[in-house]
Amino acid sequence: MKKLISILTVLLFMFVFPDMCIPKEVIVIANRDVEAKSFDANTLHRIYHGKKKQWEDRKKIIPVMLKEGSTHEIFIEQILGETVYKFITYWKQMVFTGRGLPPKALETEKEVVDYVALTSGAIGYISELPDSTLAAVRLITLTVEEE
Amino acid sequence: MVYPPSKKLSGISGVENKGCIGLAICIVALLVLFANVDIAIGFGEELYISGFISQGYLISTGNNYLVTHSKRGTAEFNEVAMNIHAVPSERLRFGIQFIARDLGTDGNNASYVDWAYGDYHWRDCLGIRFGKIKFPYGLYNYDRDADMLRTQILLPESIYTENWRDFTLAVEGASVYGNFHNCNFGEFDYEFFGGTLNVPNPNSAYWSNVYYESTEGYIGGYYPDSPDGNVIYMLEEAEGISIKMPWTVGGGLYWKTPLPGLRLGFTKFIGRYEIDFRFSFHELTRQSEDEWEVTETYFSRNWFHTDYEVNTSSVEYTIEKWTVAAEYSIFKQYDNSEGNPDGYYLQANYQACDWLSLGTYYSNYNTNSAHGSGGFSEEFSYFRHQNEICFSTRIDITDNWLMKLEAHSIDGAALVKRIQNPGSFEQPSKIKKNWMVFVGKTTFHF
Repeated sequence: MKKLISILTVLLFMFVFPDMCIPKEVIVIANRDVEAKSFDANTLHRIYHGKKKQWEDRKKIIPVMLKEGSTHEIFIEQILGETVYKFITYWKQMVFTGRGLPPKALETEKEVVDYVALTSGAIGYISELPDSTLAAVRLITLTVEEE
Repeated sequence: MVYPPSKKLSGISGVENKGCIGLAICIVALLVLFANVDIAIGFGEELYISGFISQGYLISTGNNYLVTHSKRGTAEFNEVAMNIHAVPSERLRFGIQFIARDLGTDGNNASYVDWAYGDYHWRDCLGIRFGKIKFPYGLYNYDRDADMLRTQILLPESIYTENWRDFTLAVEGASVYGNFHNCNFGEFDYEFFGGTLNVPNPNSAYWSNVYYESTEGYIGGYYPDSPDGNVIYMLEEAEGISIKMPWTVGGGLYWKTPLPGLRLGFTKFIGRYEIDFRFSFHELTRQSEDEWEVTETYFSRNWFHTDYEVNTSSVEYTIEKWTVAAEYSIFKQYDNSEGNPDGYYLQANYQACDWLSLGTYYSNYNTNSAHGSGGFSEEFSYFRHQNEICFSTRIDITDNWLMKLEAHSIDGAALVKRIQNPGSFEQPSKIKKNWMVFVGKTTFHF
């Protein structure tokens, strides 16, 4: 019931303030020691599905994600190209068959920025990056095309 | 080989199935209390603990199916599992899953190690796993015991039959795996494995059926009934001592094609199983029209091995909320006359929303036996196939709790165990051709 009320509230809010609810962009950030400067959606898909685990210099890729929220949804649905439900199901399949562990999940975008800035090989996504932290991470912006 | 009959029968060893989910819980508790590690439970942590509890209810019409009393309805249909993963270093990963399951007389909630592995990821294109590992077989064999990973309760029996689960689930050995990506050709995942395994319960319904059917031929061959019909020989009991898979090797290749959503797969494994069982049979002498007396009881022991090969081709296409899949599999046995069963299915699942999914499949299984099942006449040709239409509904009540309902309309009885249908060995007409199975299940997972 609580879940249903939450969904209805979000839907109502989206209807009244559509531009405020859905970020049009997701910014992909990486630790500054990551040499790669651009990623296509397929590379991100492989990273966030545990298929690509090493950067070109063999350093371990450490993907982090948000636990929930519109930024998380837009990243999964529009960049990785699947529903959040399927993404979660995929990782449950990996976990319950011993074939992999999902990316680390953090509560807030600030935590993502801090984690990526401090962790070698880390990559994450956020909706906006405060100017004060620009120097701390490598910035790769992926613009989501509106249909 | 068959040992000569003797009148002495030593004690029959029971099946030991040790290990315990409680042990896993104790290990976790000790880790939490005493180890200097930062334990966290949940999605995306470094020491990862998860599990599930499933409870089902199954009822059938016409024939008992999967369990002995399914016509009455049974709740002896559950799974409980818990796993722990750790990542001690950059390229190493460890994990173990304990599982207990009950399906009628199979499992009886005795827990065992479902899988336990060490995983060294050298490159994206090459890693190695060792321990007790799940191995590739079709699209969905990896996760067949985890109910929350699919829409259906029962996977199509034509491919994922309970008959073969003892040697299609996991192997004690090692595998190499990897992933290749090419911008033009898409993505390839592979895994090749080799190892051995012991069947945990040599007296499950499938193996009991194997004993009974092979023993019937032996008795009929060496102890034919007297011409006047006044002396007959009848199997009394057959009991497994051990079933071993001394070796099995195989692999799987999955191709995620450039066409978004289209995945193709091919898996193959070969191996050997060695069966050791004992049995007893009576010599019955007619005393009057309806009266028989046991005039002798014989005990014997039988051992034989069979080399087998299983090839499976798969295709899956996902587009928006639809996932359609089809698979074909053939099970070849090289040194007996039981035939090479094969099967296929066509499946479509629709994810209506996050909490509701619907699914259906058509499944066809054939024994391809030259002499039918157990030598039955044409009247009972339906023992050679099993066609099935299934409709499923899955409702996710919360993120960690779901319920499913499912109906199966079945034509044929190739996968019906006569051991689960008392009296049907003597009177095959007790097995119905057209029948139904209804299943409900709920699963909690974290």
